[in-house]
Amino acid sequence: MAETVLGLAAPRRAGLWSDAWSRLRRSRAAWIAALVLAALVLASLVGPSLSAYAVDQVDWTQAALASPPSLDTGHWFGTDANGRDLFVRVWIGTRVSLLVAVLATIVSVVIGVGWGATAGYHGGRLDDWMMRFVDVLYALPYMFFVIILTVVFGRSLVLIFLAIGAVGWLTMARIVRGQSLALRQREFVEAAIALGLPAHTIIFRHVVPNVLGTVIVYATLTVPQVILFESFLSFLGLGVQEPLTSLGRLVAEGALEMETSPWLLLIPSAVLGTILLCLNFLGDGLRDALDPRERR
Amino acid sequence: MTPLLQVDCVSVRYALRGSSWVARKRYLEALREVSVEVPEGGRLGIVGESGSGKSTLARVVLGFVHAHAGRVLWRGREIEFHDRLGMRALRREVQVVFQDPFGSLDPRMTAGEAIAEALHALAAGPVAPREAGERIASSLEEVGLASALADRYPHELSGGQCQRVAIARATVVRPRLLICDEAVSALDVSVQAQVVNLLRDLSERHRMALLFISHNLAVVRHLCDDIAVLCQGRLVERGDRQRIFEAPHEDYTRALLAAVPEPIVRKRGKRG
Amino acid sequence: MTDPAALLQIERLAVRFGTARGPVQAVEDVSLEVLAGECVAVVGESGSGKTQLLLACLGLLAQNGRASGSVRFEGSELLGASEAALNRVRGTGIGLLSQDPASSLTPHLRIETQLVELLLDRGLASTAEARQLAIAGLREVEIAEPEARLRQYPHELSGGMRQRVALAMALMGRPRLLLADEPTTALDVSVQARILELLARVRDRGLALLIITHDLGVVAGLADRVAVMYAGRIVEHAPVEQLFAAPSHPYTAALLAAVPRLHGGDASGRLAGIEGDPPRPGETPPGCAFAPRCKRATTRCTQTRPELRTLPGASDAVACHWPLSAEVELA
Repeated sequence: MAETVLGLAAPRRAGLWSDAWSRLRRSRAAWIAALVLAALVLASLVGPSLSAYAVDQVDWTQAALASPPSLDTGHWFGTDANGRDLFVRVWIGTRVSLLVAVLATIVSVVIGVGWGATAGYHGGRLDDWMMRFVDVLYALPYMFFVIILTVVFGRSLVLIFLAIGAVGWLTMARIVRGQSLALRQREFVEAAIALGLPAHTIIFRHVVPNVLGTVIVYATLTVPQVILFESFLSFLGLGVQEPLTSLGRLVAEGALEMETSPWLLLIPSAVLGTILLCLNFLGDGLRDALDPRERR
Repeated sequence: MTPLLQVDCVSVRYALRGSSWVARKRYLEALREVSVEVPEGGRLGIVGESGSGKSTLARVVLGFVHAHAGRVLWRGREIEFHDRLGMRALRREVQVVFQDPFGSLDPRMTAGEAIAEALHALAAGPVAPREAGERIASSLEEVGLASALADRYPHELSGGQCQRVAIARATVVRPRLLICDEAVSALDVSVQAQVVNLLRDLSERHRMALLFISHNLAVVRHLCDDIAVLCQGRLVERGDRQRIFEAPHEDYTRALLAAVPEPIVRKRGKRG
Repeated sequence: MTDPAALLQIERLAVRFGTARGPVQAVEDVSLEVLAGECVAVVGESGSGKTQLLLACLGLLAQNGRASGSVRFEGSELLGASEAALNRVRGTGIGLLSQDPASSLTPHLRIETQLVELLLDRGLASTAEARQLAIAGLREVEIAEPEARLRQYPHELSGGMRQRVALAMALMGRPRLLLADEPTTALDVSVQARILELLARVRDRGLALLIITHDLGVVAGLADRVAVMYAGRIVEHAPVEQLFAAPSHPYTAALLAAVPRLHGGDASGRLAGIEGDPPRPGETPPGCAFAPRCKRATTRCTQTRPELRTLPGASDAVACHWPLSAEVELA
């Protein structure tokens, strides 16, 4: 990236990103986590088409209502109380949950980092105003805000992630602003000012890359939050609507039938748990990889 | 002849924290009517303890701090710190090296990238990639570093090497004035000597003026022609090197001189 | 080497760090002793291992650090001692004065709280006594109006005053030995002079001092003996007068020459720096570590490492194949 920004071909090793990439490859935990995540994404994309059943298709055969996992019936993960195939529903749910989580997180990272870095770098009165605005949004009840949004604009997937992202950036902005404020005092930022670089260049070339580590760790923590939040919205009837489903919703439904059909809870929980665990490992690995100072 | 840089009766004050809008604002006077000048190619040392305002003086010249009274003149013309275009041109001529060798380089940029950034930011026109590569290599060579070090990140360099990279970054566009804010204070003695020599060589070779800020008079003695002593924001003494060292007028200067630790064994009896 | 009068006795101390890139040897084969009432200085540049040496003595190495060898204080072994045993020595046996006065005091506690903490914790004094001792301690380091200072917070004091409070704090437990890690590096020269004077006075009252510094000027008025470290090893160990008058190791000589002086020499001339950089820990060359920067180096220097040995008829020990003072004798 730095190479294209500077537009020069000085003799040098590859830039920050390819360095980070090679360091990530060397971290075993992060690399395995990335592979598992990739496998889950792939499964969520192709899984549903491997089964003979569709997501909203009810198997009317008597034995198929709440039947346990079995290879013979073709319901590899079993069926729910309505006779719908859990294998298909789990992968569809994974797809929806990941999509909502990733998009909402991207929205919150982009707004949060931009807002926080600008406020922190400039400081003074601009900082005051920008952060008071954040405080005001904080003061609005989060849930209430999302509910109003969904009620006013109707229920759609796009709206859900916009709504969640739009409120999720507040904490990100605060974190980034605090770090930027500290970076502002560092001599390399002053040296950049002495080079006469414009503020936006300094923010995006010197401030943001140095807060990325924190941002990534926080972002990987945001993803599970969003997944859980989405399931809560679904529970209220404001999230993903039938016949579509999400992991959070499947877990919530499964929990109701835990005693009679435990697989309805165990299988979606296992997938959700794996995703969250992998994201944490990947986040840790990315933070280390993006920091050129190798940890002792 | 008009001096290159002229600081004319500059005063700076900081509003103290804790002074609310109810009470009258209280100020800390960081600089009080300080005047110094640096001739083309000259080397001025600013000496004082911490809190004497010596770093504030550097920051005024760089436009980081606003002087509430007085003027700063560049080749006889007052610097308009709010004039963006004019400041851009001035940045090409006035550069700075800071104290902390590791803190003054972006930890996520290699040495080469840091110098390249300065080159692209300060050069009069666009620089062709090939020419940029050559100029980066030659500026590294000039500060005594192998061009292979261009690929290293700051944490992969020693303190002395980092400081050389910072000097290469500041001098790649051949500024007329280099401000060194305690630029050698954090270095080990053997490396400090190298960097002092380097600054001297660069200054002589390119007729680049130096504004060298330090708390150590012995270092200043080996580098500067003129010396200004600051104490609590006031200029207490100014003169050429020989005079300051051999016949200081002020008690404060004498105290500063006496404080320099020298590797000379004094007899025990005199102490304690 | 075993002297019964030795207060602190370091023998064949080695410090090794396990890192991602393999083990790094920070200190190797260092033997040093501090007698009661004596001041010993360890001089070295960054990366020479001098700070790790001091941390190892107090059992304060980082998680991935391992020390081997022996460190005895008043005869009892400190390396591998239990945390409880170390804590009995820390503070009351060995005091520590660290480099940065800004970080050695806890920002949110009043000066008084920090000064009396040790005394109350060990049950060495009652609250009222501790307060009196704290006032006396501050007076000892020449702090005016000690009663008023006790109520202040660290940020209300200047850097020099903070360092003096830190010194008073290190002395509160009446230790027999004071370890000082770069006690003047973060300070202005005028404040430095003040701290050095206080340290000299403390020494004259009979407290033993072990000072770690990179500045030979600091050593001059204070130390009885000096050990010069380079790349984790002691390269020269001599009484201070001799070290300054006739250094034996080329590194010591170069280090002395590199110090900027107020008088003498050619002011308009160049300073005598040492070419190159010290080796990074873990990248020490075979043979003499200083050889790549040494003008006198021969192939013998780059191949075999010189051991620290006492020169015939001299009181100092040097690790060099071609020591400078030997040449003088020959000439």
